[in-house]
Amino acid sequence: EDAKTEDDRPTKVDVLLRPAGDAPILKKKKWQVDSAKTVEWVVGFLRKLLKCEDSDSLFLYVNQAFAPSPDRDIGSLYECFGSDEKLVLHYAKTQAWG
Amino acid sequence: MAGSIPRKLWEGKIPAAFSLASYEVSSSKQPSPVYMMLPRSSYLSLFTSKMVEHFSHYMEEEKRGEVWFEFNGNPLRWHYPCGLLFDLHCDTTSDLPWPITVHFQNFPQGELIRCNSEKEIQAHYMSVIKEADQLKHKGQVINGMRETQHDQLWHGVKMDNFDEFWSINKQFMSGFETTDYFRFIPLRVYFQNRIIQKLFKPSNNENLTLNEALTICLPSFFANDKTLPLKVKVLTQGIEPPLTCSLQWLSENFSYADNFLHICVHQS
Repeated sequence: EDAKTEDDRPTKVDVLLRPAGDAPILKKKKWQVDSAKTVEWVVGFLRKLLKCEDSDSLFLYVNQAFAPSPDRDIGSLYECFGSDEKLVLHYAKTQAWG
Repeated sequence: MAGSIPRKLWEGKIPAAFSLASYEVSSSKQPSPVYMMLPRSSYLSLFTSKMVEHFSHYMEEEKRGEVWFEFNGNPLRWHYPCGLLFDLHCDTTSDLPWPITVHFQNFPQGELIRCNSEKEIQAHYMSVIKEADQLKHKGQVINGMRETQHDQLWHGVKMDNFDEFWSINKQFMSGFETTDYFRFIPLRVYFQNRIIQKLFKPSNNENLTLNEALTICLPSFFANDKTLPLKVKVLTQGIEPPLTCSLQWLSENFSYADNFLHICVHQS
């Protein structure tokens, strides 16, 4: 079997944050995120890093294709869309991939 | 005939009775409930304007905030299809018509995602179907469609028009590249308060069954002997499917309009 069981799921996920469109680049791009944390948490974390104003929008994308819902956990995104031991998330200040 | 089971599931609607939370009523007269047949693949927030129209005279305007829905103390997540919410929270022997409480006050921040417009529901739906197609065809089908076809999918869901929806949606039912199978099966398992989503590759294992998928998701409950563990009920689209069902077949026939299989596992 090539699928993992619920027990050997990693507790930390390496998340690589990449800008899309005219979003600013981060000094530190790779972060270790608890796999139980949600997309909403990552968005909040990024907003702080990027010093977003309350009025600024921030969008997060997986596979440069879809915006995961705010309550989605990072662990399951990594399990389905991770590659090379990490999860790549693109962030944008305007809608990039619908 | 292809599409005949999805059509039957689409037509199997849920009778619901929407009532305004009694402590939010400020008029001397209690409003009567709104009765509706909810399409399983629809979203509760699509009915918000109906609720505003029916209930807003019964409350003070300044107390009217964002509408949200609740059943039995559970705030209902508008971003789940109605049928999934019913399968998650209700018992068909006692909860019909489904008594849903409508709230205009005290939005449960942190428990529910806000929904300010129909555009947000559409954007959410499109995101889920894009994720499903990433899994099924590496996004090739959805990316090959025109914007008007994306809109038609949503319009079919919103207007409860199966033919309009399926005329586009059938394209998602083809195999990945030259195979007869999806690349992966879009599947979410709901157990207690958890959602489990993993990769299931049907081409690796032509007979990949529901039982094998559940065994991988919940190894402590399911074993590979194809019998249902005691005190466990598996439910999707209001139906208890045999665990020997092929996952590919289930995905083609039992998926919601968002192209995901939403499987609830209940412990009794």
